[in-house]
Amino acid sequence: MSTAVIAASSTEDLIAGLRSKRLTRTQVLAALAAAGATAAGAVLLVQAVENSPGTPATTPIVQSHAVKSLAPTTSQVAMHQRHVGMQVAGH
Amino acid sequence: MLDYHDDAVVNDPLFGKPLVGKLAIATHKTAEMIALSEITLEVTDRWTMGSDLTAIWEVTGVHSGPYYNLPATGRRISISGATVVTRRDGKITQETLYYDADDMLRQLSAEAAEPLNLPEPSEMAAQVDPELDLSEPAELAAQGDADQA
Repeated sequence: MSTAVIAASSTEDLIAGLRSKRLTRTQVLAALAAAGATAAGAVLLVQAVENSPGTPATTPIVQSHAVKSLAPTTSQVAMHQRHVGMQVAGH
Repeated sequence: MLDYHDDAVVNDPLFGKPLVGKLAIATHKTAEMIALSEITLEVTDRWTMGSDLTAIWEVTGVHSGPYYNLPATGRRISISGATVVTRRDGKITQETLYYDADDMLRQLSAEAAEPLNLPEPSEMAAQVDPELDLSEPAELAAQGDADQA
């Protein structure tokens, strides 16, 4: 097997290669190290990728513009404001 | 939220679809801030390759508030992972997170808790209080312009 460090244009390219099995773990680790990652950092990234189910990027969902369509009671921000308010009030 | 382009995309393994747009991203970040207190973030390594920046991190915090439908447990949680960020004109256009989402949910879930019920990414913007002003404060916007000059 060749030990030459493969050329990659981005970390995302390496991750895509790892996920598609075009690249081996060893190749990815070597390329990350060449980019300046520490050995521990490179291993942690590969582990994080392997533990992460990933998000399909083929069908992005664009944000809704119907901002006023939901009642304010469902707002996370409003929940936060109430939570903070209760803490301030000593509850 | 000043670092994100209006049409930025965040890929988080928690969601089945990308979060697209500043409002959707802000909603999710707010949910995280609601859930955790005493937050520490340690970046243990980072590097650049091409147009992207990668950071290896560990976050700890106390689950002191609700996380979407999951009630607070009061437990201290710890999550490690990586983030790959791509910028354009100094602002984030894409952010992809890699971490063990199942492990995070185990830490956030009380026994016999209901499963996490996330809103659809397309409805995230609708979760934001319409009265909330997400525009950049003038002084920070001016500072950002100066930084890019």
